[in-house]
Amino acid sequence: MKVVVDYDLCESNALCMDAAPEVFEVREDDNLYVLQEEPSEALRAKVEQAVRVCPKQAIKIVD
Amino acid sequence: MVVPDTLDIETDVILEDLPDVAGTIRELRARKPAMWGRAFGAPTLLLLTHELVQAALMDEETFPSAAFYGDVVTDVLGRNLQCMYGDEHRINRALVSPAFRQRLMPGLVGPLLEPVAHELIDRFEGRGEADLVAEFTSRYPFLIINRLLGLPRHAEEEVRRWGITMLDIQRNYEGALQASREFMEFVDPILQERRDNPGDDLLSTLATTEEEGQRLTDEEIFNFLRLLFPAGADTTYLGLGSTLYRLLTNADQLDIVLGNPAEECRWAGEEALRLDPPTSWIPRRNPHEVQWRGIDVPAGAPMMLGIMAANRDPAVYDDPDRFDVKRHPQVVMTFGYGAHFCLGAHLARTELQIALQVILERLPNLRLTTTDGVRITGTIHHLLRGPTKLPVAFG
Repeated sequence: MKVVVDYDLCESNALCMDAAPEVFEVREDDNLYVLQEEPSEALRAKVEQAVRVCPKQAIKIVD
Repeated sequence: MVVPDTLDIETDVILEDLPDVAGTIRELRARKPAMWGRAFGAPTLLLLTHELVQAALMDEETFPSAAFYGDVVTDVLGRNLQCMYGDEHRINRALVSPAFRQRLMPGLVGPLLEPVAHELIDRFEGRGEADLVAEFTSRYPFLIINRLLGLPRHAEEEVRRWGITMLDIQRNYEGALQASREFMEFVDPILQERRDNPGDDLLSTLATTEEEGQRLTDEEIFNFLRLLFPAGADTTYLGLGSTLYRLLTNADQLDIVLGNPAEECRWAGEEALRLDPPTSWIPRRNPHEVQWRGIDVPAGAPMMLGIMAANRDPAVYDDPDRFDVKRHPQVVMTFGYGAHFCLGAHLARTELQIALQVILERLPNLRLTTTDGVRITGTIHHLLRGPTKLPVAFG
C-alpha cells in the first residue's frame, strides 16, 4: 500500500492525523508530512479512515 | 436524455414551507436515493443519501460548482471561488485560504472571538432576558468579519446592514445591488491604504498576498469580501442559533454540556450542525449529459444535493433524528466536501464553540420563555435554515 497526497488540495486540516497519526503529521510549519509512504497492512484501516475523513479528499491509497 | 415529463414528486424542497422537513426527507429517501422533484419551481434532481451527496461533492469533474454559481448572483456578489474551476480555483483558493488555517484559530479566541461575545452579552445581561437571535447570533459573525478585516468600528452597523441586504437577492434585487455598490465604495479607499501600509488584519493580507507570482486584483478582493457574508456570516449565525435551539429544547443534553463546557461545547455544535445544517441543500447544475452511478442526468439538469438528507442518513448515523451531544459525528456534509470544502470551516467551528462557552458561562439557568413560534425554519426560502428568534430568560 502506498499513500499519495495531492498537495494542491491539502490545506492542513489535519483530520488525517487524527485518524492515522502513525502515517500523517501536520507539524508546526503547518505542512503535512507523510511519515510512512508505504505503511504496513496493519495500518490499512486507519489509512482508509484518513482517506475518508479528509474534507479536501487529498489522500489516495495506491496498491 | 431529457428531464422526465412526470416527476417522482411535485414537492418543491426550496419554496415549500413543509411542516415536517426531516420527516419528508426521511420518506423520500426511503423511496429512492435520487429522485426528480422541484426546487425554485423547476424540475430538479434531488440526491438524498450520504453516499450520493458525498460522491457528487467530490466529483467536481462531473458536477463542477462553477456550472451553477457562474450564472447566478454574480452581479450582486461578483465572481468568487464558487464560480471557479480547476487551476484558476486552486490558485485563487491558495491566495485566500492561509488566513483561515486551523492552526491560526486558537490565536483568534482571546483577541477577537471572546471579546465580541462578551460585548454582545454586556448589552443585555442586566435585563435578565433577551432574544438571542436579534441580540446575539445575528450580530456575532458580522462583528467578527468586520474586526477580522480590520474595518473601522464606527461602520459596524452599516457593514452588517449591507451584508444582510446583499443576501436578499431574491426578494429585494435592487436593494441588494445597491448595498453591494455601497459596500465596495466604502471598502475601496481602505483597501488602497492597506496595499501601501499593510497591517496584520485580513484585508491587509488579501491586499499583499502572492501565489505563483500572482496577486489579487481589487475586484477579486471585493468578490471575496462579498462571499464572506453568505458563506461566513449568514451560515454561522444560523448554525449558532440552531445549536442554542437544540440545547434549549433538550434539557438532558444541555446538562451534559454544562457539566464540562470546555470539552462539550465543541461536540454540541458539531451535532447541531449535523442535525440542522444551515445550508440544507447545495445546488449544482449538470453541464454535460451523463450516466452517473446508474442515474441518467440530462445536460443542464438542475440538481440539489441534500445536505440535511445526507446528515440524517440512517445508513451512516444510528437514530439519525436524535440530538445526541455524545455522538461526535464524522464526515458530516454541512461544510461540503472535496475541492470547494468550506474554507472557513475551522473559523466557523471555533466561533460556534466560543460563543456557546461564553453564553453558557455568562447566562446561568438559561431557558426559553416561550416555544411559540420558536423553531428551525427556512430563512432564505429553505436553502438556508435556522431559528428566527430565541426568546430567553436567565439568572
